[in-house]
Amino acid sequence: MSAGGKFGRGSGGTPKEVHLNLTPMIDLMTILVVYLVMSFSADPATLANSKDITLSQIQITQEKPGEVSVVSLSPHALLLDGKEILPVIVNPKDGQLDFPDTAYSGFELSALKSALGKIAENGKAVEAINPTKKFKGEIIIHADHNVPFAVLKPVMRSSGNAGFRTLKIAAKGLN
Amino acid sequence: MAKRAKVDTETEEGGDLNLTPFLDVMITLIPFLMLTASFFTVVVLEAKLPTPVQPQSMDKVPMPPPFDLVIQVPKDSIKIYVNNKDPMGPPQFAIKTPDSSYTDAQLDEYYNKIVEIKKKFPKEERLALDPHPSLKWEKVSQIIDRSRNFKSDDPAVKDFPDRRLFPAIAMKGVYVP
Repeated sequence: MSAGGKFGRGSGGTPKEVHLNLTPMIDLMTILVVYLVMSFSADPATLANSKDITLSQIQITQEKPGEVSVVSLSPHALLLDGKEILPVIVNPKDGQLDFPDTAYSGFELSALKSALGKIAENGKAVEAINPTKKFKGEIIIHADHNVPFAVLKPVMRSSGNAGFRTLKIAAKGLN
Repeated sequence: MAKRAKVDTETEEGGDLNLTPFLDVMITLIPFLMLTASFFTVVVLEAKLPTPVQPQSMDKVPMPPPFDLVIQVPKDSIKIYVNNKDPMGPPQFAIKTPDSSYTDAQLDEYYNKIVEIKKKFPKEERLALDPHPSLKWEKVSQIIDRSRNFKSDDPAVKDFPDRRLFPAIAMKGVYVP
């Protein structure tokens, strides 16, 4: 791309030099890039842009998500920090979303509990070395708005048993 | 001297700034940022899982509890129990939602009831939520949202400047031993 060049001829057949003025376009692009870079933030963007998950819409709360592990539940899979832990299936008995029978150990999901257990262990180890970095046992639940509460119950139970008793429910703020 | 003269000539002739690489970077960067940007705010609602009381501490727990607010959400209503002595008895308040889909008006009716209760018990912050298993997650989120804080335009905010309704929410029905 060039900022200028010979683009046409005058009426007398003389070559006419026409300059394309790129300054406004560059100004616009610079403003746009700065705005987009400012609004780019890794964690909330990951929460907002999952293609399978549409967040619930809420009106009042304005608390922003912090840097904690994220359990995502879409109609197809259960993920921990973006990594698939378990598939989500349609239960043939009632047509509702559910996890495969093999995923359950009692009323909890053993794969999720053990993965979260490792994160809790790491958090507690960090706290032992650096007491200012407290392990708070917080986890973000990032679930599709249409998922029934029954599917989230074993997820919550497994999180609680792994040491994560404070649930931060991700939602789309309207204000 | 001869060398300097040559440089001057080059500067005069090649005065245009080559914008090609800059524009290439911009054109690559803008679609990437636009695809990854979020154009709405992601917020989080806090809820806790109930913590079991150790048997040796049971005698320290006041029975009956001084304040007990339970929100039960079956398929067809939102039931509010405040200091209810009979857990199987009728709720103090009930908002009917016959088709199990909640309108904003029904959620606002629930919010108004919660505000009324807060005015009667201004120091209390605890609430237990017991949703029906078939309830959609969006409705659970909306009920939690309307239970935690006052709306910013609510006239009652002048008496509750921190805007806290019942932010200490515990999820009932999720037994964690």
